[in-house]
Amino acid sequence: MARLLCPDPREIVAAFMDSSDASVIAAIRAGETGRFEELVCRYQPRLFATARRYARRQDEIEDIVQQIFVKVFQNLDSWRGDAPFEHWIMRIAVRVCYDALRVHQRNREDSMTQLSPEESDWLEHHAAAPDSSGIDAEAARSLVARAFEQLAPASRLILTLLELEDRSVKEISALTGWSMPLVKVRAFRARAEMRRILSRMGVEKYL
Amino acid sequence: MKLEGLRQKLVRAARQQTMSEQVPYAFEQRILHAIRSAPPRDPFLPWVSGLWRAALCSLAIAAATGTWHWGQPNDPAPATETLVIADADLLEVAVLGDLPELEEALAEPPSP
Repeated sequence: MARLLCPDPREIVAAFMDSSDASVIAAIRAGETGRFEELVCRYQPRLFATARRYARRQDEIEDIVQQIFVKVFQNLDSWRGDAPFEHWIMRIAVRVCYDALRVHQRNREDSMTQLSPEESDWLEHHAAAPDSSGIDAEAARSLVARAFEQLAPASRLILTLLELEDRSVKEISALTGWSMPLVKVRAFRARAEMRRILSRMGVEKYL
Repeated sequence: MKLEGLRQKLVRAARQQTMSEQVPYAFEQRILHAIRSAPPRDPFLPWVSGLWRAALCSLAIAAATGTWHWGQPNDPAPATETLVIADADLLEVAVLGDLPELEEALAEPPSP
């Protein structure tokens, strides 16, 4: 039974300090498929945190992380070892999340619900004191989450990476495979799109 | 401008939220099961998608070239003729341009 549980991430780090990603991957390539579990235990906390930025329902999040690991396993031979494995796995993660956003967009029903009382309170507080840091950050996060739900997949991806995860344009370019000018253009458009969505949500009357 | 200020404030609030790294119980077992039960990857799949893209690009180029070709005037002869004459003039200038004395020699009648 204990075999089924991954140990604490700190224990994993300690246990696998001597077995680098490269040596584990070499063993998997040599046929020890079971050792993929080490990679899963090592990277799944980070991948869950990443997937939670792009999906809300728990089953969606689990499906995204599973897809990432399946893709990693299927493409393991293409990892050449010239870049850290972590960067490689994050590139795959971002692409899977982007694909999930696109699928989600196709199945999405456009619904622009009313502002909740907490969100309205937050906006009123902002109108009264625009320079203050704001009360009830949870209401602000809920507002952002709802605005992000309405963004186009590329816009949501770029704003998540650029403004929520605070990554540089160069990093985003490496993660997405888009050129740096394209990242900048998409970021510009995404900000404009988010402003339009906020405007549609009726926040302008609080300004 | 005010809307952009509000947007930035909202994003700042959202940025402070750290995403949970919590993993469901025995999730790694689910991954290993998925890997073992996944069908083997088709090695020709990247080629197939690449060839489809190439085929679509070729069709687009063929359509564009065809449209351009059929949009041309039917009697291009005068333009070609002018071009030939212009080319001949240019050739003469290029070959004989550096030889002014040749022109004079040709212009003078032969001395008896």
